[in-house]
Amino acid sequence: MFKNKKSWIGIILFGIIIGLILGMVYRPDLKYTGKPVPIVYYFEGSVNTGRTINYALEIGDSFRRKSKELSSISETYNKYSTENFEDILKEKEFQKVQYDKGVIKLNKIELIQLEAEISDLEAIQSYISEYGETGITLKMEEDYETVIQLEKYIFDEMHGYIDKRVDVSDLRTQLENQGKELTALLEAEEADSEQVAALEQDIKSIKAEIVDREIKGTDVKGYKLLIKREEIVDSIISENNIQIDTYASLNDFIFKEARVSRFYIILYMGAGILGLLILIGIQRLIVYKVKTQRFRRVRVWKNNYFERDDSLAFIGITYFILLLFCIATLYPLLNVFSISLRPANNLFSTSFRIIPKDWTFANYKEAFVSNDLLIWIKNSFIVASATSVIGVIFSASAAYAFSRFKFYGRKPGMIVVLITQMFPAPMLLLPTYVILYKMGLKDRLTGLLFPYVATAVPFCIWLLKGYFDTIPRSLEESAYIDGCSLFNTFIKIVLPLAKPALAIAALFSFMAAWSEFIIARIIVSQSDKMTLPVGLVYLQGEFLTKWGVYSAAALITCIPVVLLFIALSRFLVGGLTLGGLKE
Amino acid sequence: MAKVVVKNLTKKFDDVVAVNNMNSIVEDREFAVLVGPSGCGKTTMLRMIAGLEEVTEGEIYIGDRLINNVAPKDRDIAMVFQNYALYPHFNVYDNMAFGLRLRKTPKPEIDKMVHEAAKILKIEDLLKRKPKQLSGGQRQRVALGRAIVRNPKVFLMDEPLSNLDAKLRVQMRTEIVKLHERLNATIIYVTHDQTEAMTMADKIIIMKNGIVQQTGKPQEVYDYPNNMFVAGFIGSPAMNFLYATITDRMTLKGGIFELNTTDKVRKIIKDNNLIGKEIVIGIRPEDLEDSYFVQNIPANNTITANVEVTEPMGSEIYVYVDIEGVLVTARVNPRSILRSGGKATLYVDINKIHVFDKNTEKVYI
Ligand SMILES: Nc1ncnc2c1ncn2[C@@H]1O[C@H](COP(=O)(O)OP(=O)(O)OP(=O)(O)O)[C@@H](O)[C@H]1O
Ligand SMILES: [Mg+2]
Repeated sequence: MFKNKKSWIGIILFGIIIGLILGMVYRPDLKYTGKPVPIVYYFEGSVNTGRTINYALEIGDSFRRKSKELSSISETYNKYSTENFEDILKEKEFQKVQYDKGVIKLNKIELIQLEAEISDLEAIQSYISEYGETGITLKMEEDYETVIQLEKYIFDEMHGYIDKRVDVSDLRTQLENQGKELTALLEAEEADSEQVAALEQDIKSIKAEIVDREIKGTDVKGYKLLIKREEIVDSIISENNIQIDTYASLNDFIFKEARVSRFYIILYMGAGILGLLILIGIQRLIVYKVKTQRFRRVRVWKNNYFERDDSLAFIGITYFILLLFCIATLYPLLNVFSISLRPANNLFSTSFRIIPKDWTFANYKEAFVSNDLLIWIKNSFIVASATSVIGVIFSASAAYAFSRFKFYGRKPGMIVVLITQMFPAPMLLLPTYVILYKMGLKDRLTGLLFPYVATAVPFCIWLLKGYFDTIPRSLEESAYIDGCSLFNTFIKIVLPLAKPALAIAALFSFMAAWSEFIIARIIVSQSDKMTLPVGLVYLQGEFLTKWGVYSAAALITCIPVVLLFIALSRFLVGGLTLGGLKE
Repeated sequence: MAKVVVKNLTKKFDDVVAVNNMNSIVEDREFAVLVGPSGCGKTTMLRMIAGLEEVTEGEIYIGDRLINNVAPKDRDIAMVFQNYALYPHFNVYDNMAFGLRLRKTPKPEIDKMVHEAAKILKIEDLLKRKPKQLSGGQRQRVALGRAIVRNPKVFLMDEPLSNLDAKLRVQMRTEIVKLHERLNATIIYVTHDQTEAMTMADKIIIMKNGIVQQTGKPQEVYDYPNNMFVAGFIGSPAMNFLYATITDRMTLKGGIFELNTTDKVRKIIKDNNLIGKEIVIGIRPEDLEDSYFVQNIPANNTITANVEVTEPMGSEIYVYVDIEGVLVTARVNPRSILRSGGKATLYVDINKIHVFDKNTEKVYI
């Protein structure tokens, strides 16, 4: 089919154009910041769900800044507590004026310090004028406390909103009560018409609220959430009289980001379609080459490292490139390893030693002792193994059907299965969240299984179908004649022969589930239900991250996967080369 | 009781007609060989009997039962595949026991049957091995063993010997024939090798392009072929075909030869009004002899031509002569001194020649 270069270029162009068209031309009639939005809007919506959940944390950032400010003030206060603040302020302001005039010289750090001190002193002045010298420390502590309280409040409020979004039970009970009250009122026959009207009005508004919430609940379009989020944050901020100067710019930032991401989505889609076309092309090419036997014999690395007449330069360059790649892959790993062995919380170090001088396993101990690491490992293990088992069962049976039976929609079916792989995972976040929420599977490990199995199955189907195709049919036919049913043949003949491919499929599903983060982050919020990747991020504290413990936990996380990989690698090599071997 | 009857059987793969309106009967305990050139529909035919291929039209009976819609496992047949199709993950014992286990045969009985079959096929030492540790011939025997332990009514074998070397093939041929006598089962055996067909069959079914050309005992088919295809296909070396015209004197006249005819031939010429027409003469190599070794040759019973090649076989010599551009084979006396480059005068046994229609290729005699 694709015999010359021209058609390849054509196909690439075609893929890009299709991607662009799909990305830009399709415009749902919803309005987003006043303008019609392309399909990518859905993606942004999903991103924003994640953001909404994380937003409170981001707001928290600005609180943190505020608390820093407070501590800086108190520092300055302590520094000059023996002197007269008014005098010092004057002195500092004078210095600043002199600097501006060019009389004295200051370097950048000194200048920043000076400015900071001036603003601190000004703040102290205003405190003093309001509370008097003695009340100031107390007041500052109080402020600090408020900030932390508020942060927690916003966080809870956000979660509460998201949880409440689709849950209208409270409204329903309210409605019921109102209804009872109304009937009681009417039965009493001394009904005050005004009272009745007010009650009816109430009931109406509650009903409207229910409809509104339910619509929002079933509405997977993220921008409503986005707007709601703004409302909540706005109300909290105005209610509590908080001045958060970063809020507006943060919001702008999010919107800008969303707009940027739109561009990337178009690229994603284009690339996805392109990738699909290239895949199909490669497959055609291989078929074509096999048919025309144009494959030259490829040397296997096991038997031949290099050809006899390869030049030294060629060998040298080959090794050099390999070495580069090794360093690129190993360096970060080694870095994590050495951080995990450092005694204090040192993320950076000037030493290049892989094993630091004063190495210790304290971080590993702490990872296990003071965190839920064991529970996370258990959770991850349960989820990953279940994903692997269920995924392999599903995909093996589907792949067998695709490989052996002729039915309508077989080829399109395979393509559709492949297309599901094209979409970037975050795009599916919002629908996934809503579905799992409605099924009552939020904060449940079972809830994770659904998206995990669903994402693992398509790849496994392709993998296994390819393998099943290589198993000679006469084996199954022989089994039929020997007296096997279809199912028996599948279990007793096909599956045992497909062991290498099954192993790869199982490994793939296991690893994917083991290291999945985004979905788990959204579905699971309780510490005892977290999987390892979520737990790891949970270890990154809000104010302080213990990098040593974090690294130790990260290494512990990857050990089982590495072991599994080594255990199954024999199948992996066998499985990848098996297409060529017969008998 | 286990005769296999095929009625008006047709199989189409989209546009390709693999088997075309076939009618055949294989009697109970008969060794029937389905033979024909590559792609003539033999495998398709066998697979339809086995139930691995759906029937497009027609009926198949085993015994008196119509089996068109019976699942393979309920047809009481065993099949030996061209590529053996041994289960690679089972050892030889398990390969043979698999079918019995599925049928819930008691364990001691399975053990007995497998060992018995292994003994017949001389593979007792191999029972513990996996198929990939066996040679081609051993795999072959395991495949046979797997079929015979089941003791089915009908055996189907698809070119089971095609992957073996010549010597082993001859050996296995006799083994299978012996097995047939011993098992008392109906066997339908597919091959494209006419020697196998001739040596093994009780009945030969010759196919071409999905159509049965002739059915009969080996000698019958050999002596009385229905048409040029069968005549040329059966027999090795193959029958020689020469173009000739029938003269007024009832002789068969080619460019460099003129042959007398027997009374039988003359009668046919008269009956079919063939005088003056062009026909094809078929002569088997053994019906040509170096005239040196024949006494009292009547006139017009010889052909003289240039010798191209001679192949001494020990018990006989194959002499290839060029007659009007056709390479004609003769099996002559081993003491013949004919050599390539020389001239040969070959005696034709006119009692044994065949006459075919030039257009329809049907036989006259
Ligand atoms: N699955 C199929 N789809 C389409 N055509 C097929 C299929 N199987 C067989 N045919 C065609 O049917 C015809 C008969 O095939 P079959 O395999 O029966 O030949 P055969 O006599 O067994 O040949 P050989 O001696 O080479 O094994 C061939 O023309 C072949 O191309
Ligand atoms: Mg065949």
